[in-house]
Amino acid sequence: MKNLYADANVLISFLTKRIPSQYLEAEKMFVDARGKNMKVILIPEVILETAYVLQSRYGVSRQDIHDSLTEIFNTQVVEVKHKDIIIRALEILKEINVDLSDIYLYLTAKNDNAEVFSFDEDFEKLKRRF
Amino acid sequence: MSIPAALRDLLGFSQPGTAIVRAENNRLVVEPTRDIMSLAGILHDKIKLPKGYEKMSAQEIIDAEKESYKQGIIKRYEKSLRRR
Repeated sequence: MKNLYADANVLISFLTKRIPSQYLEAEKMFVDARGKNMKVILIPEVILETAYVLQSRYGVSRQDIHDSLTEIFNTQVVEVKHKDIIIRALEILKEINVDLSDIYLYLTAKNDNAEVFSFDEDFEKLKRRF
Repeated sequence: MSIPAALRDLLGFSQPGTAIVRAENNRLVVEPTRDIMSLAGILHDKIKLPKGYEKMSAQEIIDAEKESYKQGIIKRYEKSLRRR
């Protein structure tokens, strides 16, 4: 059986039930994957999009985004690419109002013992605090 | 992995089970795995549906989400231009 790479709209459907028919399909996908020992794989781009849409389109708080996504990542059926950096990025998101994509870029560079070169001052904020 | 009983009680690990182990700040973090179905619809009561949502088709809803993400990327880029 092949693993599945889930798109942001599947994750959003599963978490919010915002389209009931798609929620049921997303739920079935997770149940099937769990039953067949398959992995549902989440890549950083999908997680960044999910977090952005939840926050900007549906008004979900940064704390709730952190809590729900971190819980999803701690299930056996889900595999997250670059998980350690994504989890740390979500922890920082809880504490500071900076785009998750900026935090992810900052942490990826830091993890690589490098620095971000950007014209956006949010990176200075990140550098001062984290 | 065995966890001392006092710690198990403190953290509410009532039964044997699986856990996710990861490194964080030079520490080993052990978190019990959650069943995926316990998270179904966990944000359902926390979302505010945008105006006109009821009249939109499923594809229109997804298109609107993609558009809001695109707008977010544009906003992020424009912000970096404004500041210097």
